[in-house]
Amino acid sequence: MLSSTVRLLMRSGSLLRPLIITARPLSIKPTLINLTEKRKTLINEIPRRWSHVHYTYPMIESRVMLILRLFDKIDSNSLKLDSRFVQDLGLDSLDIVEITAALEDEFWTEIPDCDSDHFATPRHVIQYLCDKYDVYEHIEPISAGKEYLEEAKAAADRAHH
Amino acid sequence: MSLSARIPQTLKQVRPVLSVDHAEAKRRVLNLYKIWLRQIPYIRIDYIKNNWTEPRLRDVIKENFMRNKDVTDIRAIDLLVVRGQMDFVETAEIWRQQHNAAVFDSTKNTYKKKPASFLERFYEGH
Repeated sequence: MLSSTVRLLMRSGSLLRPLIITARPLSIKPTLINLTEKRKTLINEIPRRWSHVHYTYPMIESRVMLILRLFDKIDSNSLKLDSRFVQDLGLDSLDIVEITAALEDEFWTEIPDCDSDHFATPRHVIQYLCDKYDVYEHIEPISAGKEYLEEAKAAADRAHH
Repeated sequence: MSLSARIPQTLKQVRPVLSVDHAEAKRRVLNLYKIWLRQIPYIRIDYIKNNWTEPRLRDVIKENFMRNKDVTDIRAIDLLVVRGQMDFVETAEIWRQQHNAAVFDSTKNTYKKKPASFLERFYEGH
C-alpha cells in the first residue's frame, strides 16, 4: 500500500511539473499559458527536428541518386531514374549488394535480401525507401519545415541536372 | 527377373547440401558477400601490416567471388559458400596471421626474396 502510494506520488510529480509556472525571465521555453494558446501552431508549424529526420520524396531521391553517382562502377552521365542496373549500367548482382550496403549505411536501416533482389532501377530503390518511411511523392509533411523542403527540392534539382 | 532390376539405375536423386534451387544458392552467395563487405573496416585494422585500403579490399573480395563465377552446380556452390563462411570466421576471429590473409590478394607477393648480397645473407643467418 505504502509503496504503491509512493509510486503514485512520484508519477504524479512528473505529471504535475509542467503545471507549476515559475518566473523564468531568461527561459526560451514557452510557459504553460503560451503553450495552450499556441498549441496548434506549435504542432503544425515548428519543424520537429529533435524527434527524427523527416524524410521527403525529393530528399530520399537526391540521397539515393547521390549514392549511385558516387558508386565507382556507374557512369554518372548515363545514370537516369529509369536506367536498369544490369542491362543499361552494366552492373552484376554483387554490385547491387554493394549498393544495398551503401544505402543501409546512408539511411541507417536494414534492407533484407528478399527486398534488394527486386532493385532493378533507381526508381525502384527510391520507391522502396519511400514505402518504408511512409513518404508519398506529392504530399509534404507540414512538420518538415518550409526552408527544409526548399533545400531538399534544390538538392533534387541538382541531382537531376 | 524383371527388366528394371537388371538395368542399373544411373539417374539418381541427389541430396542437396544446403540449397534446393539456384535462387536459394544465389541468395546464400550474396549474403556471404554482404557479410564480407561489412567486415572490411575490421579486416583493414586486424591485418594492418598488409596496407590494404578499403576500396582495394572491396576489389579483393569481389575478385575472390568472381573467381568461381562459372560454377553452376548447386552442390558445388553450397560447398564454396560453406568454405567462404569458414574463411570468414577465421579472418574475423584473427585466427589468421598477416601473410595468411594476404594470400587472398592476388597482387600481394607473399614470396620472400632470397638474400642476394653477402650482408643480406649475413642478416638472414647464413
